[in-house]
Formats: sequence, structure tokens, C-alpha cells
Amino acid sequence: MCFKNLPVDFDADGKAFLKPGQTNPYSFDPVTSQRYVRPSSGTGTALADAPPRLKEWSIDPVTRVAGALAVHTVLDLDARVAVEAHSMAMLFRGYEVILKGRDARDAIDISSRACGVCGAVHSTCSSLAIEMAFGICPPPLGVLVRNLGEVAEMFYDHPLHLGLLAGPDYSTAIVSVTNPELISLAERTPSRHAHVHGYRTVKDIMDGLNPLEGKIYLESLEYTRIARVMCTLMYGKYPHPSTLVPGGVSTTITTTTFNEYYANLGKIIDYAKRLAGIWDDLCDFFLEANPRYAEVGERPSNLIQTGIWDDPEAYDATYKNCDAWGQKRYSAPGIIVNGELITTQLTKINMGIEEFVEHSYYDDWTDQGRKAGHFPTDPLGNPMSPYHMWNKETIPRPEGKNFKEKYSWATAPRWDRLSMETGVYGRMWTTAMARQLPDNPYITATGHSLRMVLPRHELPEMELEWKVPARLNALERNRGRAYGVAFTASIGMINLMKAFEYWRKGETKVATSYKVPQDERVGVGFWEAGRGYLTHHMHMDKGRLLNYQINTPSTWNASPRDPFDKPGPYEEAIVGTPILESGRDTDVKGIDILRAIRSFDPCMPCTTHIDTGHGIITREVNSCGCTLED
Amino acid sequence: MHEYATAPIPGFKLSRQPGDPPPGCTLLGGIGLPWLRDLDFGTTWVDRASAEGGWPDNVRFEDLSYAAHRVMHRLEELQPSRLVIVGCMPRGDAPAGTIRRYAVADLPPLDLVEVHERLTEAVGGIIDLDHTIAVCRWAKAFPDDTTIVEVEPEERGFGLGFSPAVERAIDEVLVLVRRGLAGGEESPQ
Repeated sequence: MCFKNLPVDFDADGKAFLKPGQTNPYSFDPVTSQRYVRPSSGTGTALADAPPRLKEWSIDPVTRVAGALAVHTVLDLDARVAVEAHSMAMLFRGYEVILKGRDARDAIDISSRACGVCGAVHSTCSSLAIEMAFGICPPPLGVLVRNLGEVAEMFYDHPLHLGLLAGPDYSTAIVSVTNPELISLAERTPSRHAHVHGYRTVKDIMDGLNPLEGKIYLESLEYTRIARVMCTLMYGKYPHPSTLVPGGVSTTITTTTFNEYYANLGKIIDYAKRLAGIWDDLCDFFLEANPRYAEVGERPSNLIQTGIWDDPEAYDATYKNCDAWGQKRYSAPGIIVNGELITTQLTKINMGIEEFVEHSYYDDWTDQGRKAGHFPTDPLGNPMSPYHMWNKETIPRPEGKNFKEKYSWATAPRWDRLSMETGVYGRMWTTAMARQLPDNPYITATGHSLRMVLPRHELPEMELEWKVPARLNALERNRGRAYGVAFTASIGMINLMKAFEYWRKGETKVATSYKVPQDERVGVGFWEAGRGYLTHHMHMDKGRLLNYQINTPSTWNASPRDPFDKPGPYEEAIVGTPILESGRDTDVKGIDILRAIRSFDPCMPCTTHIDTGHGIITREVNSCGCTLED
Repeated sequence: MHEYATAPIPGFKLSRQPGDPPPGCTLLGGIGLPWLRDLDFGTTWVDRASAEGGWPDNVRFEDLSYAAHRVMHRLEELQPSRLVIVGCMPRGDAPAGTIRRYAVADLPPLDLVEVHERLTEAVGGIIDLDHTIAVCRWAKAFPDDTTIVEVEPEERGFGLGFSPAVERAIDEVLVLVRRGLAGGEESPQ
């Protein structure tokens, strides 16, 4: 059964229907949020016997993440573990409101500005939503150029995160302060992949991650240059390309374009070989030095992915066929619950999504699920919650600022009312388990791993295997992201070879013509950002947008508690994270909490994109969590 | 201080695009934040200056309103011998419309912790003149002759158009930059 919590079932033909006999099937009674109470150590034991040394610990802003994120935690210094966490998106903006009433095509350029890191994912996602609404589909080479642009954009995101944002948490500069005993151990630990990446010991790797001077840090910055060059080849301009249009791209493509792209992809392929080895060595070192590092940032393996990189022969831009073309994507859409693949159908993924605002600075537009949405079903007749994005209304209400009421500008998206995480490792996970990849010479999905053959460039051909991790934690997120560069590069090779095929056949058209429909339409772009899941849901009439909703990866990951008092992924990952620093309690730096948060690659500019409706806010305001009432 | 190693990737050639000026040009770059009134001064100034004409042959214009490390990469590609960056920065220590002109060579030594913080903000997409100055100085991406011209803003809300004080500064900055390029200006102040 697909859904365990939503009031939806399926008949013998697989058609979804609302379970009968319920007046307000999506309604609920919210659960009052509880603060942490230290459990008694046993019957009759007075809690006060050994007063817990609980310490409130706020990080505001969390540095080395994109945008404004604050985290409020409670640490139990006796047990040396985080026992409570609240994740707070501190910034809000206005894309949904800005887009309302505009020409639908404007969404491509405007939504791109939702993110300063990876604007093209939004432009592309918007193009997909518009194509669905307009009833048009790009020619195959247009799909491939779009795919290649998005491959390149991932090469900007992943190296930056591994080298500049998360990487320094494992550098000599940081570890020598928090865990000096690990430095001497790292000096004595040879790197298993030294023959690939050239770092003789794990200490050499940790030196390489030192900010501003480590070789790995500097190299990752340089590789963003290559990513930008590759993006520019496909998009004409980067960041914020202006060549993504409904029905394809408007870039002028020549043989030289593909040849130059290929030359740069070769450099990335070699980099990917080294990067996987570096992070394997680093992750294995920490886990072997202290197995409790597996608890840092650990949470249930519940993941949501929308899939990315279309098969040009399968994609037709229709909602009717989205299950079929979605399953042909080079990176599979999918839902993972407790490590198991539940579905790869985009309609079921879409049907199961709700966006709650119980603890967010917005008003509920549904009377807690009792008021039906504008669209009670999707275009195929599948039931839709009033909390679904096609039904969502954005009503800002920054009031009740406390942890029991509202504490974040992020909403709380849920799938089947479960807190879901998303990321590059998530898309590898669904792709590995789905085993739906078309035949190709570069990637094989085994059901429990991805085997990737990276062709010879300056380094020899190499086979890498990323295995679905048994536990989802901070180190595995980073390891997955490193292998994600190889995964993306392999997909780049597949798409480039296909592009050459179409070019040789003379099928060089990259866009299709269209007319803006004047009747009422809906569309959805299912795509992914570097950090995972991305959707743009739109509703238009007479060529104008009536509603436009952007849902991003960090909206899922950074979400606050939902109406059922279930925490969001950052919060879940922090609670239970042990404090493994070797110093005294008074010297705690919180590095393990920070590793947990940064392993998600937070991107807060994407996460919160609304305005007050009474004027547009242009300054972000950070406030410490301690200003909130208990 | 550590020296940033430019382009350490084996075999990588700096990408120069068709239409890029020859190395050694004088580059007039603007950094602005679109739709944020006075804060968009740099971008708008470059557009107006470019349209006005009458500049020496080796002068080129570029909108540098992107994140610091991307400006760093772009300058390494363009290799100008002289650079003027125009922008608008709220320092809060002078009336709106006040023009500040200073040479990068005269700035105090870099604080590497600050560079790291500014770089990590920049890679997250933040566009900021001070980020660009810090990161490009660290990376040695600026030519020796680099001058910053910045204006104190008044209006920083959402919208188009400058406050009267900043509007007046457009022509003043034009005169200042032209005089500087002609060698009529002694040292930046």
C-alpha cells in the first residue's frame, strides 16, 4: 500500500480514490508541541536526584550555508547528546506573490532568482511546468541541451559544498581544536585511495580541507569555474540563464559547443574519481576512529526525490504520461520510507504531498483541512489534499513567535504525513533501487548500489561503486555527495553521446514554437536541484498566473514541526547527535551539530520565498533563538 | 600570507569568449543590486557610461554584479591592466550621495578569517562589493591599478530609480572616472 496516513486507497486497476465515509478526509486535530523533558531513570527515581545539566545552545546564523538559517538546540551535557532542536528559516522573500498575475512565461526568469547558487534549476523547472500547461514539448536535442546544462550546474554545487562549506568541518584547522587526538591518528593512517587522489595519509586530506589554503579547498573553488564555463556553453549565460524558454532552449548550438563541453567534462570526470576516494578515506577514518560518528546527523531513511534528466524519447511534458516519462529519467523519482522504495510514480509522489504551516509564519488557508481546495483532484482524477501546492495560498502571519506556536519562515512539507529528506544521495538511492535506467555504458543500478564506469581522461578508466548506506547520517550524506559528482558526470556522458547522435542525424532543432493558451490550465515542473527535490506548481488563466508555488529541497529539509508535532529533517538529525568533542563541557564548540546540519547542504534563499502582501521585504533580519518565548 | 594558486587544474585554459577585450584593457565594472533603488547604482552607472561614449579606445565596460568568486574568475579571464569598480555601499558615515574613491593598494592588509567568511557567503550567491574586494584581493585577481568608486545610498527599498542625491552622483562619478583615466587625478581619496 502506497499511503499509510493519507485517506487514499487504490482500486484493482490502481486508480486512487478517497476512502469512503469521511466528511473531511484531510482534516486533523493538531498536536500540541512539547518541549524536551528528561526521562526519569526508573520508577521512583526522583528526577532531581541527578539534575541534568541541560544547556540551551543557539547557532544564529549557521555559517557556511547558503542564506539565513538558525538552529536552537538543547544539549544534555551529562549524556553529551543533543536532546531538542528547532530549525528556523530566518529570511523571507516574495516570489509567489511577485509572480501572481504575471505572464506565465515570466516565471522562468523570475523564479531563477529564487536561488543565487543554482538559478537554472528553477528556470528549467519553470519551463517544465509551463510546457505542461501550454501542451508543448521540446525537440529531443532541446531536452538534451537542458540536461547537459543541469549536469554542469551540479558541478558547481557539489564541489563547492564538499570543499568550501562542509569540508572545513573535517579539516586539520577544526579537528585539531575539537578532537586533537584524531590528528595524530590521522597522521598514522594511510589513505586507501592515495594512488588515485595523491594524499598519502588522512592527515594530508584534512590539511587539504583547511580554509583558504588547503589544496582540496582551493581546487573545489577552481572547479566551479569549469562548471560555469560548461553552463555558459549550454545556456549562453550563467548564472541566471536567459535562454531557457517554454519548449526548449534558445541557445545557438554548434559542434564546437559539444566538443568544448566534452573537453571540460573530461576534467570533471578525473576530479570525480579523486573526490570519491578522498571522501571514502575521510568518512571511513572517522567511522573507524569512533563508530559513534555514525550517530551524528542520523535520522530515518525517509527520502523524496522528483527525478531529473529526461530521456528525450520518453518525455512528452504531459501530466497524463508523467509516470512513464518520470520512470525513464536518468535519475529516478521516488519515495523511500525506512530505506525501502515505495514508488517511482510521479503521480503518487505528487498526490501524497501536503504543505503545513502550523509552526510557520503563515495562516492556514484550509481551516485545518476542513475547507476543500480549489482542486480536489489532479488532472487525472487522483485525490488531492487541500494542503497540496496546487491548492496552497500564501498568507504570511509572522505572529506567535515561540516554539509551541510559530518559529520559522519555512513551511512543513510532508509526504503521506511523513517528514522526508532529499538530496543528491537520495536521487542515487532511488535510482539504485528502482533499476529503471536504460541500457548505457556508464551506470548500472544493482538494486542496492550504483556501479559507475568513469572513462579514461588523464586518469585511467575507473569503476566506482556507491552503495546504499545502511544508516543515513552526516558522513554518508557527504560521501554520497562526492559519489554524486561521478554519478552526474556519467549522466553527462550519456547525454552528450546522445546529443552527438542527434546532431549527426541532422536533428538539430532545440526549441518548438508555441502559442500562449487563453483558457484555464495547470502545470507542474518536477525537477531537482543540487540538493534534491524541486517542484513548481502553476495555475493560469488567460495567459496569466493565478497561482505559482515553488517547493524546494531545503523547504523539506529545513522544515519545522508539522501539526502532528513531528520534527523536520534537520531537527530529527540533530536530536540524538552525540557530542564527540574531546574537550570539557565548557569548551564545546558544537562541531558535531554543525556537521549534522551542513551535511544537508542547506540553501535557505530557496527555502523561503514569500512576502507579506503589504510590501516587499528586502532586508533579512537574524534574531537569536533565545528571543523566542518558551 | 598564503598565495592563492590561480587555475591549479592541469590543462585548464582560461576561457575567453568572443567579444572579450584583449588583455591589458582598462575595465570599468559596475556592481549593483537590481530593483533595490540606489543599491543598483553600479550596474546603471556602467550602462550610462557605456552609452555616453567618448572613452579611450582601450576602455571596456562590464556588469560585475555577480558573486565575488565569479568576479574573481572573470577578471582572471579578462586580465585588465587597470580596473575601476563602481558601486553603492551603505557605510552610514556620510550624507547620501557622498562619493568615496580609493585605491585597493591603499587598503589595510587582509584578514584571512574575514576573507573565508566573505567567500563562503559569496558562494551561496550573495553579491556584495566588500565581498568582491576581499576575495579578489586574496586571489590576486585585481590588477595593481584598481580603484573603487562608491556612493553612499539613501533609498534602499524595492523599486526602480535613484534618490535625488544619488542621481546627482552619476554625473559626478562620470567626471571623476574620466579625469582619473586621463591622469588628471592625483591619488584617490
